[in-house]
Amino acid sequence: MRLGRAFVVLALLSYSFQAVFGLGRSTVAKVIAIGLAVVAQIPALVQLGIAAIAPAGVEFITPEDYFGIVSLVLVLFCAFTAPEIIGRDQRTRTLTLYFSRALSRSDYVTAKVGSLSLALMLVLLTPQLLLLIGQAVAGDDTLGYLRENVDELAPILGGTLTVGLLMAVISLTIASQTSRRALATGVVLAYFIIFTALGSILVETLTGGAQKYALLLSPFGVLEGTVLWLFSVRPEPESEFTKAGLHGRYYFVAAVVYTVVPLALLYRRLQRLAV
Amino acid sequence: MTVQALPDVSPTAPLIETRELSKRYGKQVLAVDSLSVAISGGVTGLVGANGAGKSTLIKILLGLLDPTGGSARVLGFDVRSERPSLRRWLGYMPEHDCLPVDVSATDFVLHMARISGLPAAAARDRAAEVLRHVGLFEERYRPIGSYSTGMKQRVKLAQALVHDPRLLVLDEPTNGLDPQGRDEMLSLIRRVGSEFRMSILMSSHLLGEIERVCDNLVVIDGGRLMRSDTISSFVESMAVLAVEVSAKRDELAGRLTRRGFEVSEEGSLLMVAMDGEPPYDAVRDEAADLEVGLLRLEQRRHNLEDIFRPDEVEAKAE
Repeated sequence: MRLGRAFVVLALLSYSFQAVFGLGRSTVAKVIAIGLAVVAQIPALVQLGIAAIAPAGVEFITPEDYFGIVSLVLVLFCAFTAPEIIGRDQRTRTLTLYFSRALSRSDYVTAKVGSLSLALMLVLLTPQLLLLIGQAVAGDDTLGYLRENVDELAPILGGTLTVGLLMAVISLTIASQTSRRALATGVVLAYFIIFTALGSILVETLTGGAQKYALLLSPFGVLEGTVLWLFSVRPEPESEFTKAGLHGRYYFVAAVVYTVVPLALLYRRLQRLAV
Repeated sequence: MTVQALPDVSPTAPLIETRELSKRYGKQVLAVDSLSVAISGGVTGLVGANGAGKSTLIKILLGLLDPTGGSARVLGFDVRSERPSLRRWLGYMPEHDCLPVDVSATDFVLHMARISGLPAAAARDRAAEVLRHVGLFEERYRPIGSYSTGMKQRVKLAQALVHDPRLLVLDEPTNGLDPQGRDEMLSLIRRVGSEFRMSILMSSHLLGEIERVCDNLVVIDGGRLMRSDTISSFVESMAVLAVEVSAKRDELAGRLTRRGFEVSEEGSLLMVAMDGEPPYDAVRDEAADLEVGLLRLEQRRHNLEDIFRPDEVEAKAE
């Protein structure tokens, strides 16, 4: 008996998801990926530790802040894992074996994007849920806290989905351009850091309309702006977002564009790749 | 979630059929040139020199490359419009390296089985079975990077077999192997063909290998079909009678040629082609007429290497 296309995509997605965390790979691959995933949980654990000993209601870190706090860890995670799950197949020329089977090139892209997005979502969602549940348990009225904060669940899920998809797609699109792991890692890091810095510099130096849209250049600016918009949180008065003064929905639209365009480029790259 | 079955193909219908198939790279390079061929089941050798178009033809048949002209059907499926269905029934062992180094053979073959649509339990059983069949069962948990070239070739064969394909396509399967490794790989391929009852298309630039393993032979050169036939027909058509006489060799050659026989010289011998009327009586009668002694009358056959390299054969004889 042979199972259908959905099963085949799921099989590759599951294999690649394990590869993201270095399972079935070298010890170094495991240590880096799992280590970064653990580091991303530390702020939530610290907050829960504080909540356990401090008076009720003390929240230094909230779910809407979480992406901003761990964004650099997520970039490092992407930079190390994206070349591993997409460049490796080009480097070892295993792509020939995949594409001579009942797996189309689009299925391959779907599975790879799915695996890294899910891994990122897992890394980002777990601490936010921990915060939500931990604060509830640490307080005097657990059910009351949950009832009061249940509406945070939708922005937590929406923000995590947006961050996971955007970062996975951009990292994989960059990593798919070369089979050289170190180069891909460097370019992924460089893209996120340089364009984020550029956005921040421009929003400080420009004025008028240019200043308003400057943060759209920054992938972190776009994601953080989207998360704040999803949580319906007004940015801090001194923050870049207040200086720019752009409505949050524009960051969300930019996030969609930042996901769809690289995704199209990734599909195109794999369609044209000679095996 | 089961998948469509193999289409009803008549047992006599060709396994692979191409019509005026062409593949052009850019404006200059014509890798496959109006190739029309029908290949039936069994083990078929695809022979040609390096650059003859073998790998390009294989990639077109697998749906990895689009032809620029003509059409091709494999197992009854059109290679362009029915790729996903076709690929379920194909196993492919490429010529080049294609294995990850830090994964064990068992994990890799199991993964490839699942990518081919096998359920988890069936994939595990098949992976163990094919690794045993290719002789890697004891070493299956070692990372592939620690394997010898011969062992890596076996892993490549195992992943091509694991989903029980109807047609196995092997591109230069003995590449990079030492003579013993070559022998072992050829025996393995022969066994796969007979024990698994799997049709095989195997490309090679070494005719000796093809002669040992294959039932049929397709010869291409410069992307064009030179000949397609059974191995036995190839060999029969090349049977010759070696004749050695005590004198007047050239006169005997002239007389036999006038009687319609194809005669060539190989050292002191006359080689008379045996693809038509048997030349025994004619040789006897002409030798008697010339009053020369017949020192040798021996039926020989060229092997396939000789068929395609007549210059080398002559040089060897001299």
